[in-house]
Amino acid sequence: MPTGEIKILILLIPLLPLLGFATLGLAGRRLGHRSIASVAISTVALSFVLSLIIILSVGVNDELIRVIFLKWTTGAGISVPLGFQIDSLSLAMIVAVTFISFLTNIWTASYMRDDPSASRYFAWLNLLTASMLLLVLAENYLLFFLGWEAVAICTWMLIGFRFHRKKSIDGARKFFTIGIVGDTSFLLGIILLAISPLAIESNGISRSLGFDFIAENIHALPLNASQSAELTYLATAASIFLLIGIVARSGLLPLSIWPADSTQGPAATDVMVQSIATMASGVYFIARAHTLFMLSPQLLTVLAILGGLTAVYAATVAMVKNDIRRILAYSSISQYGLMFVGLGVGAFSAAIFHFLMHAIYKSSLILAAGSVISGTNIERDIRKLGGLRQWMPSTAHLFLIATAVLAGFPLLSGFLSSNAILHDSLFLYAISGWNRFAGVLGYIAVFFTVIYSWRLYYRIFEGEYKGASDLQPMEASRLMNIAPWVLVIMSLFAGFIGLPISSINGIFYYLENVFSDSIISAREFSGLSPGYSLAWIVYGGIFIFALRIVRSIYLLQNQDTQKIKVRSASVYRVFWDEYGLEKFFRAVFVKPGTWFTGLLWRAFDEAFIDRGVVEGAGRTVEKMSFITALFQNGYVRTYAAYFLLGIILLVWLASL
Amino acid sequence: MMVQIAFLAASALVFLGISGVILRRNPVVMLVSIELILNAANIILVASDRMHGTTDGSLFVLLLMPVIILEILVAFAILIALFRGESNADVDELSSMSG
Repeated sequence: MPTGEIKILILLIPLLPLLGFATLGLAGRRLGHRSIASVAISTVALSFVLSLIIILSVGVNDELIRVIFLKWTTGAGISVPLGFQIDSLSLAMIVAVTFISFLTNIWTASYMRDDPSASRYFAWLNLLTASMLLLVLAENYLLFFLGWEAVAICTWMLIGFRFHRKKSIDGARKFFTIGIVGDTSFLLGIILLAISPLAIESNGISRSLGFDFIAENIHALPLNASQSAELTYLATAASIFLLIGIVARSGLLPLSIWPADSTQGPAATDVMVQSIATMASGVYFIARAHTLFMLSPQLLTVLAILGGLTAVYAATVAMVKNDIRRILAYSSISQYGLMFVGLGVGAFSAAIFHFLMHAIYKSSLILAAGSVISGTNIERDIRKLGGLRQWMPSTAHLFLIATAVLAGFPLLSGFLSSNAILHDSLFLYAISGWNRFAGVLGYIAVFFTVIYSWRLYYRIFEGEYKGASDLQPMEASRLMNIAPWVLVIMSLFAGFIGLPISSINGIFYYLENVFSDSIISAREFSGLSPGYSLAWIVYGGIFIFALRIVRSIYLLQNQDTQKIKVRSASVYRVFWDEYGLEKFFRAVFVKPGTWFTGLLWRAFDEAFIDRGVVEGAGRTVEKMSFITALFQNGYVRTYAAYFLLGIILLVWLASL
Repeated sequence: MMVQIAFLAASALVFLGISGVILRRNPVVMLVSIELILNAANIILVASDRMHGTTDGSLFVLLLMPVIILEILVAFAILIALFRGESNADVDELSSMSG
């Protein structure tokens, strides 16, 4: 396909959902539900078709295509073109984003059939899709930042969609507060990058912030970078600031406290937040700017360990929580932790592979959980559910398969993708012991993942129904079941794009051009190496071991869960309190912050500004005005005398 | 010699006018006094022309005269509005604007 046509089509991909947002935002109140849903679905569906057309027409080994729509140079001499970058990474991402957003829209159309504010929800859903597509396609850091912030705003709106509920507002505010901290840091990182020598163009004057441009500048650096110590420092500082933004956005430790509270909107919000848009943008950014991060390998190692710790942390917390959607949120945090292990050790394509697989199976799981909740009269507490299999057989099967994929049932997509990351961290990229340590943390997380995911399934669908007896749980409508079923069937087979067999041109080959400068290329990845089979065996062993445990506890009920809870009360407490993170943030930031703002409010605003300046000015005028009032006696003759005095004064002054 | 007399006359008129405004309470007389002051200004303008041998001042007088007439007209309109229906016209009665 000629570049000219691609240029138009690629522009349409984010523009169509944006158009949907504009239509629904301006005319949504006047449209009926059917037309609202069809506007939202059709725009995203068209974007998906266009993405498919482009991904099929751009060859794997083609050079990277950059399309510039608008050239813009800031006053500081930084050129920031409005342009898109088309390579296998961004193409894979836009297909995933549009596809899952499309299915989510279909699900929402059924879920919000009777909701009077559906148009508002669909509008923001469309805008979130458009922003994510802009972020993915962005050619330079600043345009990426535009998409990044737009994603944040839309996420905030979607979390706080049910704004009449306090929980919803609180969740949105939590995301917003943590996001502001992260985004400020992210912007600082971009500014540091812009002033660093990496951004200087070949003419030596103007600067550019293109992803590709900076990567090439880094490639052009001499290998013994001793003369460019200043440059390395600047690049590392920029990477640290960027990384803080990513930690906040993707819910890594220690800023992992927002995703669980963000589960207050409709379930489609969780899909967008956890699987495809908000938390995903951090993963995508590191993959996109991996050349920059590879300048500071220690930082990447820290990221890998942080990811491993996050994976274990969130998986253990998910084991004890009782709210379905909170459990799934912690599950997402844990899975993102695993992706960051991959990114941190340098296995970028494995991380992207896991990201794509996770997006598929987690979306189906979240949507199925949404069906469960709406089918049981908004019951989110798994202690009050149970035995739903007889009422909702279709959802039960769906949930079972998705759980198996998430938990890593051998040879399904979750197994293959998380294994790719763990294998790489243990064997391929084990440059330092720390990388191996991160891999081991990942295996520990896998153990807990099996436990929490099967516990969730058993608690909801097996045993006896513990809800109110007068309420019959209802199976979700057929339309509502379409999207999760499509996703779950995909998740059974999608993993095969990442089979480590050289005869299959899978995802690793597809992404090879993008990550060709990473430590090890896909060519060396091929083949079932002994390390690979070992990793599979270890993984499978952990899976079976953990499954036996969880089965005996929750399905066969050999042991009383209450007894376990009492016996391991101290550990249970730690998991339940989320390792004290929430309390820590409350004690360290929220309380002093509340105290300080209270101080500003009472002492500065009320006492000084209000009573001192504003009221004080009035009082002073009131008090002093009696002096001037003495002269105003109302007699015209007195005023004439003042005139006379004034003239005499003037004449006297003039004669001096 | 003539010029000095004109200046002296103007000063006398100003003095008379000011004392009229300040001392009298009848608004009509006060307006007449203001007229005296303004005419004193006119005399000074013409006299200065004589002294310097120019004509600019006299031109200003021609401009000033209609201005003075209009002013007095406005003042009379206000006065008539204020004292309509009242037999007694005394400006000291109108002291409600005191501070």
